[in-house]
Amino acid sequence: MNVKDLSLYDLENNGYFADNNLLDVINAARFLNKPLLVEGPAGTGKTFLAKTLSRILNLELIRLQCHEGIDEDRAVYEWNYKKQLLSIQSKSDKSNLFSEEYLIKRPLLKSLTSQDDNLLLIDEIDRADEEFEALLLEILAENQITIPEMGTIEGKENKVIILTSNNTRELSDALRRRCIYLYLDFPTIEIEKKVLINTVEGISEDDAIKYASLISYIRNLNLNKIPSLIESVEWVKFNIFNKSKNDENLGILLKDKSDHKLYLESMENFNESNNK
Amino acid sequence: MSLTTSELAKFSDFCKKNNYHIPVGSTQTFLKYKIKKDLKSREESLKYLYYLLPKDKESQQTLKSLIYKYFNYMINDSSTTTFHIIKEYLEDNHQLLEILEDINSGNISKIQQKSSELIMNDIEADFTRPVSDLYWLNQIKKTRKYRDFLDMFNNLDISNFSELTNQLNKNNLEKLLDNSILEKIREERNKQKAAYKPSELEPKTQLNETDFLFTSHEERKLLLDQTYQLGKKLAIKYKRFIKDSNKGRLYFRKTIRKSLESGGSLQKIIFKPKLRQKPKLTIVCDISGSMALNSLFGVTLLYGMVSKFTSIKAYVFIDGITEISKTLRSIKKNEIETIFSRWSEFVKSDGHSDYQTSFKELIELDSSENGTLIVIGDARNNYRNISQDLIDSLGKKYKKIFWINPEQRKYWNTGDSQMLKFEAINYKTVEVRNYKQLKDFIKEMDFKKVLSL
Repeated sequence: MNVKDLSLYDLENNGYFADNNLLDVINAARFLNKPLLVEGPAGTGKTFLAKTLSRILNLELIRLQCHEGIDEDRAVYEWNYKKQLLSIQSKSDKSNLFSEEYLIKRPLLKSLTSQDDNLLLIDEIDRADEEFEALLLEILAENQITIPEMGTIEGKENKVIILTSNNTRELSDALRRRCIYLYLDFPTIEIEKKVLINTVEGISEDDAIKYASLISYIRNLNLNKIPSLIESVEWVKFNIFNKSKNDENLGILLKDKSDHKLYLESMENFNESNNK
Repeated sequence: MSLTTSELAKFSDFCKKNNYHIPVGSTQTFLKYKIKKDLKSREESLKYLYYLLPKDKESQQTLKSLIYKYFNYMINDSSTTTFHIIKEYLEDNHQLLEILEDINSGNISKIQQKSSELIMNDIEADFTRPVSDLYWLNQIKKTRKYRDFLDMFNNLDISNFSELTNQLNKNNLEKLLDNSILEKIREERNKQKAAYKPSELEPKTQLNETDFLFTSHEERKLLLDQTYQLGKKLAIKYKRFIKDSNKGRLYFRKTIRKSLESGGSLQKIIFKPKLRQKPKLTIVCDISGSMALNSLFGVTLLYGMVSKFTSIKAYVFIDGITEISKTLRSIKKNEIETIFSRWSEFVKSDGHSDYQTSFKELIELDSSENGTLIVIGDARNNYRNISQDLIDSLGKKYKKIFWINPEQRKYWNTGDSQMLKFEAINYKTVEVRNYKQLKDFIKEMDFKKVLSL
């Protein structure tokens, strides 16, 4: 697989705006061929980063959405019992019942055995149970999966693995140790400005800076739910399109009544102190 | 000059002394990358050391400060404050512009210089006095020089357009300056360490190891948020344990019926759903005066737990117990402190902590049997008695009791502390005075192992 370093230009061309730190970590993970664990608050663009990388590197995106109770059957493989049963009834030779023919490949095995270069996205790993992490260790460290009935299946070095986590649960040290760590926080004013200019039609650079500063100010308030990047973009889009004021359509940005109040009060105080 | 292997080994030793252990595997990964990529400059090597070694945000921050202390090099990452330069700075104030641009490029020497000046010249500080770092910070913040420095943001002809950005920059620079001043105060106190006898006044090394009582407002905000997350994590751990143990007996009829799909072979075994067990986790927090700030962390932990799992029961007590599960569920995260404004509601008689009465009431109020109890308290009972009957009934009522004590272990059982009596029935008693200890406690808490015993 081509491991040429990516540049900020590559990311920006695909609508992803970031700083050099993020780029350096991604390039290092690719160079070392190690999985990348991306952690951070919800709505900072972790999944979008994986999607963008798959697009830039022209990799097939194989996604495993984790949830409570996810197990081997849903993540790695499952035997096609019905097919095996039919085979028992129709054939006299039953020696190859546990062969690839009867195997239903789930995302992890699919990514491992795929002949094409691919990006395996294990999304929201913190939602899965702790036991499930153990299942991942073999593929993350050794690039292989062991199926008791078939033996060990080794994968090619043709994949990028990205794990995302919202940090709702502590991930095991064993899993962390096998990954390169990246913490993705809310964007800086400069990056948010670039995102707004790129996504909001008809926004001037001045307006983009003004909104980016305002959003950064809002995120620094003691809110119950900090607005995500998508929410802030949608809010600005709506305001620019309707030529609304900053304190209108707050429902798009802030999803909590007390947060509305807090924001309006803080703006009032800010304006008062400026008038003085 | 690049970073040599012997320098790396020495740095690793330095980290070890500061309670930060670098795993061998991570060092190997770094060296592999350094050699293959032929990292020539020291800065580049340190940058990748920072990228490749830590495996979570907390250790990233720790490593960043250790690199700064050892190599005197500040890693410029996205968490470092960046200032948005507005045109007014370019026109009106070149000094301010220079400072902000320097910080943006990772150079904080000017801020450090300023903080040294403020400490040395502006207050006649006697750092041997047994007061907290925050006391000195507040003294410095009152000085004219400090105010003049931040006034640079106010003495500009700012357009309406740039007001907000200017305000943000001012807030961020103030935070940076305060942190730098605190660092300098700690350095000064380190020099005069011999003057300190009580070990609790020792200057801290890392934020997560800082006593909750000695955190600044900003640090506290960060730690409270992390404590809330820990509360949620603890609740999730408990919830999953309850779920796992919910599988009932074999559902014979449905299993046979399901097997018909596969020609009669038993491919899927179906279990009867067990009657949903009510989670029996009760958590109580002492909010009396002796607990000071620790009770704020305790209630935040309670809040994180009840917000994630509705059936967990949360109580607070001083001289009598009050259930606050419903109250916690009805308030928002930023309203937790309002609980303390209703202090009078929780006082039942004289306002001094009374573990005897509070636990007696808890046994009567809490309907769960054979459950788990987590207590956050210092067990200081104001020289009141704690009867053996109460200890016995508490031991009978709860299957397992965990006790989080915010006091240093060496002070337990001194004065009016009755820790010894409770320790006899506790499954685990831990000292939790900082975030790291709290995190370790939650990390080690394995409900499966503990509650199936």
